[in-house]
Amino acid sequence: MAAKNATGVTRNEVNLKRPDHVYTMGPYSGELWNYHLMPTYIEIDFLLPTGILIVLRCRREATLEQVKSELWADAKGYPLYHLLLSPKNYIFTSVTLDSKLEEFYDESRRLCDLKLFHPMLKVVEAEGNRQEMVFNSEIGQAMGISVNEMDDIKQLEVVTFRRRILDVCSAALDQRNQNLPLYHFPPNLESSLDPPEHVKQVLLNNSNVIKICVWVVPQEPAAAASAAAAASANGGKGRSSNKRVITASPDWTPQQAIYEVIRKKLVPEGLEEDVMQNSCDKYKSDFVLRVCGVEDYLLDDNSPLIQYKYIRNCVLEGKVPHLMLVSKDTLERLVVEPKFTKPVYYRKGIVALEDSLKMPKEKLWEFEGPFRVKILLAQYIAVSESGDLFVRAGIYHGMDMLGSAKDTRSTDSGRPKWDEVLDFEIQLSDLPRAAKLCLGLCFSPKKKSRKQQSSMTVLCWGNINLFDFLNRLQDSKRKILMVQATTFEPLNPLVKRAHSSNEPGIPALDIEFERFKYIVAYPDDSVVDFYRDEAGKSISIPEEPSESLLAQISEIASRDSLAELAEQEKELLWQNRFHCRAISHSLPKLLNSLYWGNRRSILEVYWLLARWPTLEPEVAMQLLDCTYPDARVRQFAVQCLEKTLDYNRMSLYLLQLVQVLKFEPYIDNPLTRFLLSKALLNKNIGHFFFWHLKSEMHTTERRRFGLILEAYCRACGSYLHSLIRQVDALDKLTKLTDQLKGEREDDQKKVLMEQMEQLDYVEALQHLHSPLDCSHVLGKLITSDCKIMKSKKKPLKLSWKNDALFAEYYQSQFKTIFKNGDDLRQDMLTLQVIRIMDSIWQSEGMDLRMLPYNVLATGHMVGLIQVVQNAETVMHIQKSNLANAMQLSSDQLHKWLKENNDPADYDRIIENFTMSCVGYSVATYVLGIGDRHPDNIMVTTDGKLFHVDFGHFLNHKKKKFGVNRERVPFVLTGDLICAIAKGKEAKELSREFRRFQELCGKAFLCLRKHSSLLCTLFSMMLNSGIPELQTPNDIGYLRKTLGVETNDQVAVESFQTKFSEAYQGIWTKKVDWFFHWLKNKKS
Amino acid sequence: MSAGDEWLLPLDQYAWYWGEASREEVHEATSDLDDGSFLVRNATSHHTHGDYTLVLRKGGSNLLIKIYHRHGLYGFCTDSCSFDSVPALISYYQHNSLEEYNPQLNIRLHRGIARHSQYEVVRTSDPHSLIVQLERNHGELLSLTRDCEHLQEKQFKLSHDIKMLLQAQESFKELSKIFEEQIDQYSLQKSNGETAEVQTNSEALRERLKSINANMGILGNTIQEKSGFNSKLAVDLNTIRPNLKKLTKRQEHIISALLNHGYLQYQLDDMLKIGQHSHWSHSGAHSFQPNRPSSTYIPPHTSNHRLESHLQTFTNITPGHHTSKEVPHKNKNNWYINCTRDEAQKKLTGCADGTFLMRPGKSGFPHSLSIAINGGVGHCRVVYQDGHYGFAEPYITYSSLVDLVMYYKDHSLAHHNAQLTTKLLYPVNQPNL
Repeated sequence: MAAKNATGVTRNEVNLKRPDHVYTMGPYSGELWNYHLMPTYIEIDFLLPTGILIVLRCRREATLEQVKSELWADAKGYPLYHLLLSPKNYIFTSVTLDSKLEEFYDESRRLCDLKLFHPMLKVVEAEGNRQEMVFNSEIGQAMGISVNEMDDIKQLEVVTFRRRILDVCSAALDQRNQNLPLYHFPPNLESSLDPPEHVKQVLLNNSNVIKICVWVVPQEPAAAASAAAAASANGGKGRSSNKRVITASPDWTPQQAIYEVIRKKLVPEGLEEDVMQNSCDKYKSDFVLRVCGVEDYLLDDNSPLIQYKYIRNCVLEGKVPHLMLVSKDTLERLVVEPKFTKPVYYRKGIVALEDSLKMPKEKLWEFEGPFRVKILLAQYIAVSESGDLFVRAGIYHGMDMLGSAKDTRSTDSGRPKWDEVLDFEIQLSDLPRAAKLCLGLCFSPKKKSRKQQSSMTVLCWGNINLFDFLNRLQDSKRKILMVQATTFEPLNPLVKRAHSSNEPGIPALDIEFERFKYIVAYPDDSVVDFYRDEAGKSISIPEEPSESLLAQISEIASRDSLAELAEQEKELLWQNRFHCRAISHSLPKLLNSLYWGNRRSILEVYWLLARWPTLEPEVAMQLLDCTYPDARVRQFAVQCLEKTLDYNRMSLYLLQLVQVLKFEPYIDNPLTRFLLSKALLNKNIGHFFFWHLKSEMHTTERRRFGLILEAYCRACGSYLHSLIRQVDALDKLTKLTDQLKGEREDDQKKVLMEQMEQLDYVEALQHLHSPLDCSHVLGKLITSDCKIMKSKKKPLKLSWKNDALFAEYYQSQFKTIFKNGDDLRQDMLTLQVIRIMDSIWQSEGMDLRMLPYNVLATGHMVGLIQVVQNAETVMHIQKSNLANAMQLSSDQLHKWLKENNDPADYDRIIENFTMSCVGYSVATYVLGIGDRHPDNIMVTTDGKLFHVDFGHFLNHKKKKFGVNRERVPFVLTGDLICAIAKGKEAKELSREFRRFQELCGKAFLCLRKHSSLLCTLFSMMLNSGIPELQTPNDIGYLRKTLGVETNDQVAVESFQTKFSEAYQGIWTKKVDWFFHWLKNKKS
Repeated sequence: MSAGDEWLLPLDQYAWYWGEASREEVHEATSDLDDGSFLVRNATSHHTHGDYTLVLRKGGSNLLIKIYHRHGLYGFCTDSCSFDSVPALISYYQHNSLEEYNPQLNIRLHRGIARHSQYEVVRTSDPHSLIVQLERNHGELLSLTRDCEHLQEKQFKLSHDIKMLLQAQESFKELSKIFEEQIDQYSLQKSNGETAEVQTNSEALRERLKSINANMGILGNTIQEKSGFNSKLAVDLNTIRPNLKKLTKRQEHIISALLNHGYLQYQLDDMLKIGQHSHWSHSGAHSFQPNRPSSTYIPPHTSNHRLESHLQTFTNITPGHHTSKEVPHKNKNNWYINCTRDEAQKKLTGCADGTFLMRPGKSGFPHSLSIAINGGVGHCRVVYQDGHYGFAEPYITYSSLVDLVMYYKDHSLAHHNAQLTTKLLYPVNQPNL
């Protein structure tokens, strides 16, 4: 028996009986139903194809392979053994936690990772295309849901999408295969070729050259590793032959740098000049440059060195870039990809689709009469008081209602049945393609007196598209599942309910659309094109517009995306729609001015759209938010993005671009195709695309995002395995932290350490790409450095070794916080916006030394946070000298900075501090980030200040109780000022402080110039489910701090007022902080 | 053009005139109103050239129509202003459809939206009683919001549970199917001999199936139970919502009325913030009363000049209660003792918490405070700067020691020193002590 332990399986003494397992209502998700973690030993029922039951006691981390061989050994002692074939003919299946019958093809998987519902494994003969099955189960592992779930959806729209999207995949793959290294290691480039002013300045100070250290290592991996080890052991000394320091011009391409390296290497050999040149030319194309310690290559030879982010950062930080020379052969070997095979379902035709395409249709535009709908009855409406119920209905295009809302008569809340037809003003033939019917079920309690005003409250909302994905008008009975209302607006065109919901008792509304003889359909694209061009013919372009008219249009166009237009302004734009083209970014406002309930106007807009100049991505993105549901408009926006959005900006905006997928009326659309293609062409984009989708698989978007994820997983190639490892590691950590929450405080550390040493944990938590940054390869977990942090949600602080070559020139450790129990999406959004602000400042020549560290929400209330190294909280710094609490010393921070640095660096450190303080003060003020105290403001040893924990933004507490949480949203405290003023007396009068004040004003004005972009980013997130960002009114705060409705003068004045208020509030703030410290100390 | 013989008031007498209302304020007040509701506000933004903006509710959203002021006349178009006044224009379109101006606007101005509430309660001009109302309303709103959030949270959790349980039920169904198949499998193999052993095995299988079905039954009951509870929660929520709406609206109205009385937004915020803490324990209305010697509520850190002057103006509005009362604190003799620190220590030892005295200070500080606290005695220097007294910056705003004492009669010192969790309650020489 003891011998068996090695393989992880022990035989059970033919004891088939076991006590009835009564399920307590424990955790619902974990390694096994009712458990967070599977017990160390578990008795598993094996059902053999012979009908025999065998029970084996197995270790939780046993692999299926081990289990199988044990099972066969055991089966010998049972009847009917002779009927069994050899083990390789069989696979295991079981029921998983998501109620799917899953086949486990990959037998290296461990029992605890199978997500079994019940400790049962059935042995069946393997059938079907084994390779495809294996692949499907891998995709299922990455997505977290089984591919079967997709297979089970028979809805025509879904079936069609799954097939069609594969064509998008293979088109992208054809392009990708032409240069696989570029897919795997996309160059990290800044958007603009021309460096901004502040970079140029630094370069000039260095006589316009960059000193670069390039390591030359032998190309066999083993030899390379030992060489690197030797090099670092000697601290680079003595083995300098491995190292070449070159003096490069910032405009050099990587190839020119390589040329120089080879030349330097050959110099000692004393070759003739022309021989040398020849060899350099010959060899330079055999190599590429890689950044030391990280999977980042300088692969784009059309870009100058200074455009590479790594190089530019080194230049700005005054550090020498460390690169290594890698042969192209080595690189090619790293990026081999298997052939892309399409799944079986691709080859099957879709009968239903062909049938429905063949069906006779009537043309919508030939119909007369209004649109109407019959409201039948409501179900599961929960009201206690008796009162009146009625249904309000409106036709919406985006956020605009077409015509007016219609109400049914009121009925008694006990019998919510109407059978009433509602006629709308809008004619059938005028219905726009994206029209939807929005419904609200409203309730008013019985009036207690005649005089009392009837108070109507909406209970729940529901929406439905009037046309399906094949252009067909709804024409039958429909059950609309309703969503609980969260505001008092009677209708809400944004809400959505999950597609299939098996929950009982969901409020629902039965309605019936008008039925016609045949299916009525919106005209096909070609027909629309025809009418569009017809409409175009009658358009006579008016004469040249006057200067003043253009100025007016331009002024309106420059307003932010949330600005409301007056009717007169809309009229002006519409009247001059043909002139608007001259000011291309007026398109969003022009489209706002259009009444979408008029076919003729829409056709004219389509005509204009076909002739509209390409928009900048920041403007095009506006057209993707919820106010622009029209397919042609969105398609135009995507076309613009295709032309203008580089990968750098795409990764900046990816978060929003994924969110606006939710505003797409149908699963298949140009935006989905565009994002998917880009994700398949650039691994870095793909990585975050995957995680942004995956993190919302628990929401109402499960179906849409699941389908896109499936397509991505099918085509992302070998990176899928890396993603699976990331998913597994996060799963392990989630279950572990769930388990920890149930443990006693004193035991937690012990349980953590024990679990970390379990074989499956050790294996899952090492050698994987970091989800926070896929160029970081996490090596071994340094268990001794891992700990449970002292905060409510018990986050884990984890450290990994960086195993890459020359890691010490990058980061020798990767530190990450894993948090289970907090919604990190708001932090993620805040930091992303701060990153965008930083890029705005950079492009304006301001380097504010920001540290927008990485945060990634990876699932429901789960995520990762990057740890900035060599940093302390201001609290910690202050605490180091708190003997006399009443006399809080405000120069503590300044002292700390001084003590931690070489006096020679003092000026640079204070400059870092001042600049970052400018950046964060302005950013937190503009975004209304609340709850600031010294525990969530940190400083690095080289003086960079940064904020962490963004639990509240847009000054949100205010909305909740009509109360501002903080009086002074501008964070500026005595110790910060003391450091800025270099510890001088009369700090606020010092030259340094006044410069600080000026810089703040300048940074604020930079942001103001881009207020439209900032507003757009937030409005694209309106459907993301972030609790503090639900309605356009929430963004009102941002518009106010940016002062979008005033001019620079007024905005700066109000900014300065806030600034001085903050300064005068310093003392109070300090007291507040002091209390915070006391509170923490007690706990 | 004028609106006939109708007698018109000046613009600011109309309830539908909102003056300088913010866009968010307008949005919140209009979100659920019927088509045809309207209001007029000043055209605020710099890029609007019209003088006023008519906000009209139509199709579930707000239309903004500029009212231009040209050559002394008002109208919707710059080139055809023909009304003598804004009220004349509004009155006209209350009787005539806006179609005349824009063919798509087949609507009249039906109902003016009053900024300052149709609620009876707000119709008082006394800011003091408004504040009392605000406090009460805020308290109710707060507790209702809490209830609502609590219910929503519960409902969210419950729905999640139910979803997971339903999922489990599905899993059990699958599981039970597999075991049934396995049992069928066995009956196919029956003919193969080895009966006794196979028999035992098959019985074990049947046991398994039974237990699975039993568990499924338990699960089903739990689901039913939870669903029942869930729909009860939905009922509760739906009952709360109309009230919540009423209170929210009322809160907005009271606040805007108070703003109209010259209070500033953040002052109200501050009051409510205090209220937030005190209201947990349902304290009386006094916590909102302006209770500084000047009888004006001033947020502790305010020293902005503009603000100061503004506050002066409404000092006159708010009646002072405390000033009239005779308090021992007003008499310096009751608490100013010429003694040393040690003497003060002796004097106060054993006194009730909050018993205090002032005495001459040393090392550059003219005066010091000594106060009994937690069975001991605390000492605190009084700072004198530019003719004002105080304990610490920027609170050095009291022109006399009496003012200082009067202020801290009502305010805890904990603000400055966490250990001094008391107010200046009893002057050491208070006659009746």
